Amino acid sequence: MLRNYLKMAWKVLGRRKFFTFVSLFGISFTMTAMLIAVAVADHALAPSYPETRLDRMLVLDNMNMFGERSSWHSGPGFKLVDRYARDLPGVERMSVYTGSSNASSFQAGRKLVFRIRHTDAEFWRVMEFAFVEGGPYTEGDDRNANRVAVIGEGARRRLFGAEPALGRWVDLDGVQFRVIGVVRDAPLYRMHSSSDLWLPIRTNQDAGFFDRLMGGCEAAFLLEPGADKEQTRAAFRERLTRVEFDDPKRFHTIDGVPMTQLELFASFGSEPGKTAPRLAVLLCLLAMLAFMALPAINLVNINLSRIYERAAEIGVRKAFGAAGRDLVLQFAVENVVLSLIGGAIGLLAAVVLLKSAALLPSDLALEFHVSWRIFAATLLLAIVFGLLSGVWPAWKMSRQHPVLALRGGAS
Amino acid sequence: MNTAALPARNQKNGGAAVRLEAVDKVYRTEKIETVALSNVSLEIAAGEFVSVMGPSGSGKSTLLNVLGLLDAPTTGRVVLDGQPVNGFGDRSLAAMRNREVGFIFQSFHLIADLDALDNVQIPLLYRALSNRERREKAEMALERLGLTARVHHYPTQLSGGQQQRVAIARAIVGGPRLLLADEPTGNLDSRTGEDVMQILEEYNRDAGVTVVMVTHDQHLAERTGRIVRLFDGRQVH
Repeated sequence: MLRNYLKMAWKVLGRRKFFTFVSLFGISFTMTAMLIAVAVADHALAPSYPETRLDRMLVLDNMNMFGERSSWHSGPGFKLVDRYARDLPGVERMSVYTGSSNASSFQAGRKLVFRIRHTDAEFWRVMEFAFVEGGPYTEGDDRNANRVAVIGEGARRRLFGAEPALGRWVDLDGVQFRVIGVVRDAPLYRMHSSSDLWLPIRTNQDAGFFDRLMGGCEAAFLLEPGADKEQTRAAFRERLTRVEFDDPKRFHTIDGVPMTQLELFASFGSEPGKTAPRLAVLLCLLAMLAFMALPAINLVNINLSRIYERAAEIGVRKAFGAAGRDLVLQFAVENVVLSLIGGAIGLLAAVVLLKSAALLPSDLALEFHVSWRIFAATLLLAIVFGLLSGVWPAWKMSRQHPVLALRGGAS
Repeated sequence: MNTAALPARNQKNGGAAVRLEAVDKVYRTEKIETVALSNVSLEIAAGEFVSVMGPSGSGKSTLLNVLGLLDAPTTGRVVLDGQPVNGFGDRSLAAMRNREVGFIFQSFHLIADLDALDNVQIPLLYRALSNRERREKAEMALERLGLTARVHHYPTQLSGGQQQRVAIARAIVGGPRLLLADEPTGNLDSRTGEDVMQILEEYNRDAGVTVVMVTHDQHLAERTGRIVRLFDGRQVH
């Protein structure tokens, strides 16, 4: 019977080409958008190069310092991390680094702008960069503020063309740095690691950078396998109660906790320390459902008129022994087939679009891959979509009175 | 038609294939009430060939629909093959139609997207048969109707007479006890109509299947064993 339904589904697709086109366009467009969203979310939130251990990482990037009349909302300062965030329980390694900022370089009369990030030496052990030349700077380099740099492949291409970069000098805002390592570029959406050049944090020349409690830094905590992140957070919160403020009359309290990537995503725009990942995930799922529901409702409409056209066929099938559930099954199969074809087109379009991201300027390093996870998501989405848009019209038409249906009419 | 291979139908009860007892059929809308059948009592014996005549709107098609369990009477009883069917649910009625009844329609009602073989297989889809069994039965039915060369033709590739023969093959493929034909020659020219009539006569005679045929054609009706006449939903004698 299923073979017959599949055959029928194929024939129906070819019968009304415009309807089929409209249906397939709606399904495949929705699928493409959903798949791209899933792929981007997957790449942004899931562990991948060079944040390959993101699943056991906490990041401190949002603090709130306040007093009676003032409050200051920003990332932590170097002093806060250096004095109060080291050696927390459950933490295997901790790295302090700045966000990325721009620096200019003049090469052969050309001005080149690069993203730079200052990091400690531990950064190279928390993140897992792939070195294509040389290696990272050491604690000694950082302690002595040696003017050395690790650069990305994109920056190497812009600075030195196809030539090796090791030992060569880069001018950044008038200061010379010697290249000691070249890494495979980190994708732009890797918020905690992506940059064009990485420099020892002690080479940072911002006035007062090392004496601030607030502003300019982030800290990444690589937890020990199986460590309880709540314990780490509690210990950090406890340390925050002992912070020595420069001007206690102005600021006397500081708040903020290290968070997982999902919590960071979920807490975007909210107060430090306040996260609601479950709510955020729920809202995302609801948004996805709503996004799918719109074309699904449209498809219900198309399906209804499509099925009404087949009233006489429904009458014939009922006359010859089809029960309501047989017809629901038949139309559901037809719709799922349509949705699977739409899903396949959507998947193809999503792959092409995601791959074309790699054609953007190479130093953005946007690399998306369509994994089995995404393929399974497509399959599931297509079936859900097919059922969402097909079962109700099928159920409605299966209840059509056979005599009325044979006359080709609709009740 | 080659009827040599047709199984003789089991004429159990020795009597009624279908019986209507004081059947009324009333269609109601918000404002209008239309009486399609009024107090119709009718017994059709197993193996009988009955024609139903009457002017348009007299209730002929409604009678056929009630006999074929496509429509339920408003009041009265329908007894098919000795079994009262009032109160049967959708699935039971569907199963009974599938097993006991074959329909032939004036406008053939073949599914345009399916070829002759697939159209004929439709009643068999709702039975526990393998693909192979279904195909073999459908091929045999088409062969009986002389359509072996048209098995993979679509309805639009067939003449009216051929389409009606495919429709007859579909009606008989499941071996029903009761064949209901609603003006089966109405859309055909006289020669093709005669062919179709002969097929029904042979099937009735050789396979022993009960046939009830609605027709406007007095000559065709006179060839059947009995004529039931309707006027304004009432049976007239």
